[in-house]
Amino acid sequence: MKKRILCTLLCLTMVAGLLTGCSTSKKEDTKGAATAAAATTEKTEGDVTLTWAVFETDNYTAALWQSIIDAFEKDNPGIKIEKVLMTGDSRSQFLKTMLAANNMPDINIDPVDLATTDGVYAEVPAELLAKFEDSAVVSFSGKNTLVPAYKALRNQCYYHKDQFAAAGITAEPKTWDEFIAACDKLKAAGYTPLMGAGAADIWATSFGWWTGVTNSEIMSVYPNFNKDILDGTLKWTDKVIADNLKTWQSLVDAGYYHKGSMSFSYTQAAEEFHNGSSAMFMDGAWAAKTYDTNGVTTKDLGVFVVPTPSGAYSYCTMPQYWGVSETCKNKEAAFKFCEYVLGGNKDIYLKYLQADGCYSVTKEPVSYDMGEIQTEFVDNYKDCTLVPEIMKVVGDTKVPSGFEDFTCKSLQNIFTGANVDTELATWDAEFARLTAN
Amino acid sequence: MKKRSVFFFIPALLIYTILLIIPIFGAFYLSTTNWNGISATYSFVGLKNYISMLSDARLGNAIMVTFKITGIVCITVNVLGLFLAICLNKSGKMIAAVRSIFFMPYVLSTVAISFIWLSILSYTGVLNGVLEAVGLGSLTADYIGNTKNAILSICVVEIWRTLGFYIVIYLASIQTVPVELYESCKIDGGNSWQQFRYVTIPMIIPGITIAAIMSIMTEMRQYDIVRVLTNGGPGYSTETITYNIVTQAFGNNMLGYSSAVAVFLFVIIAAVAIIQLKIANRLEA
Amino acid sequence: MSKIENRSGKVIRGGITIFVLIITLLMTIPLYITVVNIFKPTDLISASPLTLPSPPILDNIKTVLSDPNVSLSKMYFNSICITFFGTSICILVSSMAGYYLARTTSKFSKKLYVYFLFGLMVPYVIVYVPLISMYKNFGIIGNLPGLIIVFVSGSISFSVFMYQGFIKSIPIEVEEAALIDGANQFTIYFNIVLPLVKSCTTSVAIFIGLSMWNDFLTPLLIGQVPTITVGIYTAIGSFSADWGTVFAYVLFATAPIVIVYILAQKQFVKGLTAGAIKG
Repeated sequence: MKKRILCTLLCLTMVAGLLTGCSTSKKEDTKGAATAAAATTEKTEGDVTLTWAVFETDNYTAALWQSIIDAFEKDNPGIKIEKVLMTGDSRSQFLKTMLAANNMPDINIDPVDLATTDGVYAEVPAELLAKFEDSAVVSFSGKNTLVPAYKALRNQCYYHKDQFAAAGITAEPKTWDEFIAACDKLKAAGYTPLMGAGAADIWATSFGWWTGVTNSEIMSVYPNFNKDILDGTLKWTDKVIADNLKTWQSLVDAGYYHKGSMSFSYTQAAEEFHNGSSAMFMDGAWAAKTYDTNGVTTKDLGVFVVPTPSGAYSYCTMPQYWGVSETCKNKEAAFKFCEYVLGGNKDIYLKYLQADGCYSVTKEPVSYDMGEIQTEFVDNYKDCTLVPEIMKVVGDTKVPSGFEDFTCKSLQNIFTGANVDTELATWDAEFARLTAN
Repeated sequence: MKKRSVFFFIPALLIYTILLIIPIFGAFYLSTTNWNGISATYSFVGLKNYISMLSDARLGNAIMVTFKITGIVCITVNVLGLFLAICLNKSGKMIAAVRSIFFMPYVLSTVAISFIWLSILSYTGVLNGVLEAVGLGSLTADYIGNTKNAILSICVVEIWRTLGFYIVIYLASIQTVPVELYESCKIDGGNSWQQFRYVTIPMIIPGITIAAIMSIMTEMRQYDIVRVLTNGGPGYSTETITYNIVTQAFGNNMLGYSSAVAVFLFVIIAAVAIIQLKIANRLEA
Repeated sequence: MSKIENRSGKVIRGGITIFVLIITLLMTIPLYITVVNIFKPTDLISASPLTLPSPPILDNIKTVLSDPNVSLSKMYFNSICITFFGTSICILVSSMAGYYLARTTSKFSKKLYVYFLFGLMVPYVIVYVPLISMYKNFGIIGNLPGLIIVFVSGSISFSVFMYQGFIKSIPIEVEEAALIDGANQFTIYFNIVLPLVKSCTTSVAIFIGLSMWNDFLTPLLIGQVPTITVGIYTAIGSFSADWGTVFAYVLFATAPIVIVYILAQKQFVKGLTAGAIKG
């Protein structure tokens, strides 16, 4: 009897919570219906409503998006922005299902995967494109369908200064031999040199190595790699790539990586590193921003560019874009929104860039104050050459959709000991299969 | 007796046909095209998708993985389920409580279960933590990131989730066996093992069949746990057929091809079900 | 001879009891871990996962409730809507169809029954892509009502199977008596038959309701609607290291089901296994 009363009470409270949630979500639902109606008729009381697909993380919070929307709506009465949260963990998968279902949001963040197909995104007006750096503007089959949003720096090696000192390492490794020597010293002193990641985060296993070291090595030998691989001049089984990956495997075989690496999700690995489970972690630029926000100083944490076995010294940036869907009923308003957030309103653009630690691509650069670690991160690239990132190139020389995920999985295989040459042969096969489609 | 009006079944028929049967035919049709899901045009390629399936190593791997998982889970769950059903075939509050504990994982959402097990199987998770605490630190291992262990981890989670369900099915089956048969077996001098072998097993063959069919069909469609626990990894070592289909469709933009794989899975499951039913019919006779 | 048997019998029985106890313990541990660790701070969870929290803290639950990126009420609303309406509609149409199939003994009716059963063998993943591409212009993809109807279509096979079998076992005399009294078919159905199949309705409702609530892929791909399962998957995504929050999310995802399960255990077990036992 008591059990029943307790459970009934719990259910009643749940229902009460639901009803309050009900009223707010009902409003959102009706607003959604109104949006759909507005988008299809375009003949409302002068109000245009656009849908904006976003994703939310620790850095990109709902509050951030809302502040952007509020600022824009205040300065542009008559245009309303409706936020659509991308569900699941794959943004391109979400957009593809929306597109297939004729429900494509008007403005998309991270549209690169779908932009390769003609007719998905609308061409960007030339006046808007003129506001961005020429290098950031891309075209697909001659059409400029994406609005440059920002560029993100990629990765370096973060390390715990106390562990380095305890192992007797006095300077940041500048050459490959110094790097190996540092790993050995750490191991001798009882520390784990490197942290890896895996589990459900496929991209994380290879991220630090592939993006930092392999990409630099390939680019230093084959500056037009993307074009060459697409027209068949080069193959993935190339000696440069194979040797580089074999070197990576040798790091694993030497026991430099933390034993639990593959079972950690990216967040777990970062957390473990932060707690000192390993001395070094090849992590992305966003981590610098997070460390700064959390009060970590350069006294405890250092960062350096990972030296490559061949001595190539370069870095890459990942460009990011916004796209306006071809199915948008009011493209003028949509591009107005893009222009406003991506540079038009300097404060809002600043907020957007600062959130994830990215950098502006507008002709007039917008910069913000960075914390210690992020400043050091950026400074490290002072003498470095900028090269394209093979897997993230946008435009006609883009690798086919799904290939990057394929390589990430294959690199996981390599990390766990698969034969490098056999694996790379599967890259060639898959590449051919996907490009033929 | 007046004939029943057709309006009784028309609503169900409409919904079922429009939203299930017609899309299945649509999948058959799609499997003969090379549509990529985004562009408006695609072309008919006949059986090309099916032929390329034969040489697709990744699909072959997915099939092996699915069969491995199905094999391990189904055998364990049925054998252990039957054994535990016999042990728990008594009355009493304790037994009832134990039965409800066994059954609870089955009602929980697979996504939630996967997150729980992630915390247990992670390298710095509960299992390794307990091993170290009791001094067995040398036995700690990587259960998710190690190619060989990852499949076993998925099997363990599935067994944990479904064991209670099959215990209940076997319990119900066992309870249909008339007590007199056991009595007459005892009179003939049979011990517990012989009772089990000559009375219980033949009488519960329908139950065994159903449990076997259900467990096979459920495991062949395994997706959720793989997606959350290992995301098909490390590499491809835990990629199941359904995972392959979803990734090909929405990741690789190869909708025609993924439909072909889906048709293939459908054919396999149907074949398995039909074969099992035939075997069961023969055994029952 | 019997003495030896008795002794070895006792040993075996003792061994079996220990074995069952061990397995029960193993089965309970994951549930225990979840419940206990919600009330502990994350670092304590990694350090000593099996101990009871002292003192128990509510921080993890507060984090989930106050997370601005996550709207639990919306997710619950979606899930409850789907489950409630989906189950109701499916029961309505399936019971009617089952009634027809049980009471009509024509060749057509037999063929129709097999046709409905066909869906039991289908792996639902085959349907996602064609469903989206064929019906995108009909307005059922990407919204709640459409998702509900899609769920209904997936559950009809099982429901029809259950109702047909159950109604067949109900004596037909009651209906014939009502017919003589001049009632028409539909009144007979709604006023007489439906109340008689209440236990079957409960079983079916629990089975299909549970599968609708727990389904992950369908709302993700077809509805693009954040139900509770999709919602926590998206929410936890990047926070997988913070075990305390993860467990709190898991709690919110599973608590409603667990509550109903504890309240209605017998019906739950009966409902979920009825299909298998009948077959």
